[in-house]
Amino acid sequence: MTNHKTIYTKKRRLKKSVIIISGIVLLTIATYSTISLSSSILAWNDKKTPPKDIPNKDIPNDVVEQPTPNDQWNDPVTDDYFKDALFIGDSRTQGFIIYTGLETNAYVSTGLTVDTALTKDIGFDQYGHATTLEEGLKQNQYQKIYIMLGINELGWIYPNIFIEHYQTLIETIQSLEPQADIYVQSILPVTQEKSNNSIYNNDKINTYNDLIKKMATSLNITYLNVREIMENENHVLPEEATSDGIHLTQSYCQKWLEYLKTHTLKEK
Amino acid sequence: MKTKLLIITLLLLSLVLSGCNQKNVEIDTEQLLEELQEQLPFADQLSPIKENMIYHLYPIDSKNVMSITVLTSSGATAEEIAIIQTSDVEEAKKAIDQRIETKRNDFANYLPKEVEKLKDPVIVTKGNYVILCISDDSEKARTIIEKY
Repeated sequence: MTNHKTIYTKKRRLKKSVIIISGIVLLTIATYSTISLSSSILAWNDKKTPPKDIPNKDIPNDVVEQPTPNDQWNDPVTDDYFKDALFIGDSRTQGFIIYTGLETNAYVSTGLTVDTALTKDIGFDQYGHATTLEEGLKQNQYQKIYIMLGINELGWIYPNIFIEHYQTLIETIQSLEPQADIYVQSILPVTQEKSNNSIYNNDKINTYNDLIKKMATSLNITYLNVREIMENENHVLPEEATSDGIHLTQSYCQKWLEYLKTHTLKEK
Repeated sequence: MKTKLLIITLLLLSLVLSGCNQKNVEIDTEQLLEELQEQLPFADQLSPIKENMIYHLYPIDSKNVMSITVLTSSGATAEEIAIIQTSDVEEAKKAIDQRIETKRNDFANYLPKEVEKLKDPVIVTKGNYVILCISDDSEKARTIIEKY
């Protein structure tokens, strides 16, 4: 009986020991995991990891043709020149902003048109609220405003409707930003193939650009003929300039930027 | 009885503490971006967006962001990749949903065929990372992201 009691007691002790050791092992593993988590939290608190620069794989600047001296108004300004600028445009301008990496301001949206530019919800403000161009103009002051619209309106039947809306848009911008130099840019051409097969037609683009140029004169704003820096001898967009006949590659966006840098009113 | 209670308590404690470790995920962003661009059939060249512009497109409080990288198309397609490391995963997910909704509205009238890509965008949460990939091959995108 005593032996049985002794054996039973020993077994109980052994069982307890096994449980305690297993518990210690499991707790050790779990504690190690928690320490690793705490370290990463402390590291975040100390310093935010800045985003890594992702190298662009596109063609470097040496293929960008510089404008000839008699084409430009001034020596190129630096990127900083555009820090107090605002760009208004559709997806082509969106591509320009992204591919040039300019530190600037932009109200750009795929499909933006002259009749929706002021009131369409574009982007978000610092509080995560959707904003419109009109709200942005009321809240901020810009020294230069660059506008390029028109490619999405090529399907409109009446060109005069297009230019009436464009004029209304610019007059509103002028009233909200009287201090700003306003540049309205020519609509860039499309490739010959695109022009042959869609509503994105170079003849219509040329008609719209004539109207835009006259509008600029009547409103006393600057017309920038950006297309001249990128069209070929046939006055169409070269195939190498675009991924789909309309939107520019990174190197052609750099050409666009170089044109803007050498055509500034203040430096003229 | 006491022994069983002790075992259960220890097991539960271990599970809870080990579970916390799921948040301790580190993703090699550069490698993931490279692999996605190499393996997926993107129609357009994707380029990175400057951080100030990212917050214009994704409504996220920058104070919550540890790192953020967005690669997007020239405008010719709806393709995009976003990798957000954040202390507020729910905010990042909501911002991604809003970004996708904006793209759906933009492309619906402009390039309806691009809306197909936006029907099944890949959104994966791993620890405190939220990853978005809009491409023509959602299945492959998801497989690649899940490896990290």
